Amino acid sequence: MRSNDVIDGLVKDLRPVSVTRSPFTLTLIWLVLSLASAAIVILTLFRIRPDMSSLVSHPTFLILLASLIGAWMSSAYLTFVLSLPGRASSGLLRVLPYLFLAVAMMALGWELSDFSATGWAIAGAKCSAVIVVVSLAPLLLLLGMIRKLAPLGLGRTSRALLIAATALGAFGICLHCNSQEAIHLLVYHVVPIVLMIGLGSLLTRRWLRW
Amino acid sequence: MVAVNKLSSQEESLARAMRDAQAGDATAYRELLEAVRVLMKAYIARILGRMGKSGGGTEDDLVQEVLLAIHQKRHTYDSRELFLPWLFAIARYKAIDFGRREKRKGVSIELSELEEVLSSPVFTENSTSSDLEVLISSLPAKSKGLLQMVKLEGLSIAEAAAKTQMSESAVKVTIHRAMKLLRKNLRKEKM
Repeated sequence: MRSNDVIDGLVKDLRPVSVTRSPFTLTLIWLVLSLASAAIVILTLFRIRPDMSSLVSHPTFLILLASLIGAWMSSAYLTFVLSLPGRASSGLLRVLPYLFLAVAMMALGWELSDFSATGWAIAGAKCSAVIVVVSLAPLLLLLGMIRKLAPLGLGRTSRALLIAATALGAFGICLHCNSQEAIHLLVYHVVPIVLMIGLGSLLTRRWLRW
Repeated sequence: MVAVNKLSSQEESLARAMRDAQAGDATAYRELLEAVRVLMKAYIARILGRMGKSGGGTEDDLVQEVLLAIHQKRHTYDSRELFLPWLFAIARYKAIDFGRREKRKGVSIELSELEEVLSSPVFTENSTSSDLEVLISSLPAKSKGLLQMVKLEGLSIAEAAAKTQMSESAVKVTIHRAMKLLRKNLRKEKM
């Protein structure tokens, strides 16, 4: 088929289209919907820890929560910017989600001196499973939204997308899990994010191809 | 300056055509796709030439892929943004995808060459036509004209030589020097 024929076909197929919203608006929509879905899962399947008010006095825990929120928001925005052709993403935006994750890991690493054997307990793996459960709906929603756009750097977009979903999952588990031990938070709340980004990006790259 | 003005008017007319096409104007859409085909032919011929994959209908196949991609993703163009960076970002994605497919098939491709073409200042996804205008405007008049003809309009060296009444080797040397100067200016801007 020649290009002329293709052009004829495309012109014939032309329908008016609604222009995609800006990355900022798309990010806001996803943040609201993902938060709602995570809240529903946490409140119906699990429970919020009863000592939430006392956690204000625990700086490491607050840093962890703030870092996860930062990673969730910045990576969601980055995902949409990377999925709209011709949009310039600043160097800072591209590294911001990773910086937030690094801050979370460093804050927990700082506290690792109070090592305890119980923190390693394999029972903590349940927390990692909860992260997957909480992240699932936001991840599928974000994948669906991105597939309608035109993601360009598939690797970068996949990683940003997975950080956005799993950071929210990790935030959710922090509100449910009673453990305060740094080793537990690091191994079962933060490291799973890194693993899921690594493994998940292999799959999502394929789903994002267009 | 003629080349710069031409680029600006091209950006404006393509952006206008795309806006009209998004609203369902078939005439504007046809004009847009015809213009894009010409632009893409030059761009893709250069990439495939570097890959050593010219001929055999590959160019036309890839141009068609870009046209289809534009059609499928036309809703992602925001008329408040520039059109050419949007277009070249899509073309770049399709060219890289093609390169990957060829690599998987076992066809030898100089990826470093491909990267060089795709990351050249004219075609980076983050560059805007105003960046380009500033960069090109810093070149001597003769270089600007030749760069416009060969790198943007897709004329061959021989055609550009005939049009400017210069020898082919003089055209090549002038373009080579212009590209070198552009790279140097771009590096300076980044610093």
